[in-house]
Amino acid sequence: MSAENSATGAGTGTAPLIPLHCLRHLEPGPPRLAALPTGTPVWLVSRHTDVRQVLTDPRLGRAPLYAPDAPPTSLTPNILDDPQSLLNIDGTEHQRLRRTVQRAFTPRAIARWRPWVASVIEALIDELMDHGSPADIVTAYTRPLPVAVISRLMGLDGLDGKRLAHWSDHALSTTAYSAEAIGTAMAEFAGFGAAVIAERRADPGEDLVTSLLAAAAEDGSITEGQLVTLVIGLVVAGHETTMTTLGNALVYLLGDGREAWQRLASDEASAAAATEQLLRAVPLGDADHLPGLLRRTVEDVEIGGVVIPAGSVVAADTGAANVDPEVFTGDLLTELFSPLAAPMYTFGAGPHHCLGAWLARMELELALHRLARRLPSLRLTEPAEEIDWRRGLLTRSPNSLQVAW
Amino acid sequence: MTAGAGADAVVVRVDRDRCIGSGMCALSAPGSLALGTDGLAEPVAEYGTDGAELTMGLAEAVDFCPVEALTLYSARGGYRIAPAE
Ligand code: HEM
Ligand code: HEM
Ligand code: SF4
Repeated sequence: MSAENSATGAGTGTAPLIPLHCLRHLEPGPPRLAALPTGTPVWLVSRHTDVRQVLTDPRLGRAPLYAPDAPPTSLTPNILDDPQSLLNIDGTEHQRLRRTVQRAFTPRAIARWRPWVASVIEALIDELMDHGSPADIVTAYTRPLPVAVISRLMGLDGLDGKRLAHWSDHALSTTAYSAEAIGTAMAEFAGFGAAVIAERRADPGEDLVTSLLAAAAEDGSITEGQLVTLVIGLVVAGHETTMTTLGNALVYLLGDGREAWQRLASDEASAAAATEQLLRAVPLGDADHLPGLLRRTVEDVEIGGVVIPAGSVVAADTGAANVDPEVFTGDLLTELFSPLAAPMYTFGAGPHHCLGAWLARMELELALHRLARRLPSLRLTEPAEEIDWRRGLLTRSPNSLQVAW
Repeated sequence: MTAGAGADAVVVRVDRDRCIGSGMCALSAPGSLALGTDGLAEPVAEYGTDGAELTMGLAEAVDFCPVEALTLYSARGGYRIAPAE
């Protein structure tokens, strides 16, 4: 998760950018050699079956990317490069840490939060309607929603949204901030995580941090540093990715996909189907920042007919796999309410499959359904070419999105 | 928990549309589940057919599957044991 660092491309500048649902993907084909922004050679894997293999085959891992002999994959390390974080350990060590949080994130565990998530969403829509048309739907809706949800889950009720946004932007920075600014923000963020942990130890609650601490205490082998990384990692993951997906989904649904709006309002099942298709077909960022999910081979591995030598860096291009014409045919608009023809890899696969996948799905599905129901005439008031994008981060989403109803 | 493969024997089913090949189950319960060549989980030996004993590891695997792709059934009675419906 570090190859995304790039000093070029969509990261900087003010030239108009195309919406993410319009991005062209790599033509799927056999693994091919390219280079990361650091100059490190990388095997790009793009076919649906090959991406699955990269993410599930135990001969490829995340930890080897941080081994002493590993080539540099990151220009400015961000939070995702912390070698002791959940994402960057493998095997039984990973399984152990993952188990401490897994129980709170299964589909059934997440379903219990549904009424509460729905009420947060309704409250945000109330506020948006009180504000009146026109409005910026990013400020009013897509940005506050994931923060409100994860804060509630983790019992961070006093958390200031601005501080969180600041940390989160730095945590995932590629080019937007200096290494020093990132370091300072990360130290502050870790301090916040440590304080939350201390507070919950002294005064346990019903929240996710409390259950995490209980599971970690039972296991006994999880370090304090790992716990802090986990806590702040969950805060950031719940914030950035969901906001990005929702913002880009609205760019599509209020523009090129406008004719689907009414059906989204009709029932939650339609919104759930559309959420899967949107997650599949609308990438979170530009390929120059995200060539794919990174792994490194621990021995020679044959992938898609090519033998990739031990010690190679491999990028699984989930965006390309998600539109591989071998498995996915038909365009997004006609398929929007149909079940997926094959699994999508937006949440990854294998041991590191996104922990928050079911929470993110539920938030997105409810956010789209309720918004379409309450504001059937919602529309964009600016052309897509004039959208002001958040640039220089791993993800790209609208900075603001002017709407009317 | 360790009742032997008698009256309390269990079988485990993998919902292959759900399984994302995390391998968590194969690590928790190597005697009951393994990853197949397609990267998805499969029951091992008796756990897919006549049933075998319910171990701690298997109970844990069912609990911890990230996508709830695993279901335990009684081999004799055919009723669902976990997860609760
Ligand atoms: C639309 C929203 C989201 C997307 C697209 C997304 C995407 C991903 C992807 C692709 C990975 C795997 C990375 C890899 O294999 O290299 C991942 C891992 C992870 N995600 Fe998410 N995520 C989202 C939301 C969330 C939320 C809401 C949370 C937490 C509340 C979360 C927590 C995590 C964690 C902890 C991991 C690491 C899992 C591990 O290494 O075992 N994510 N996410
Ligand atoms: C563009 C999109 C994505 C963003 C912004 C994003 C962001 C995050 C963040 C911030 C976290 C939590 C960080 C952490 O816990 O250390 C997370 C979980 C994770 N996801 Fe995603 N994710 C995205 C898609 C991906 C992709 C494409 C990857 C990898 C290549 C990825 C990798 C991770 C990592 C590293 C974790 C951290 C797991 C942990 O240590 O707890 N995610 N996602
Ligand atoms: S734990 Fe669940 S998702 Fe992972 S391999 Fe086993 S059945 Fe599949």
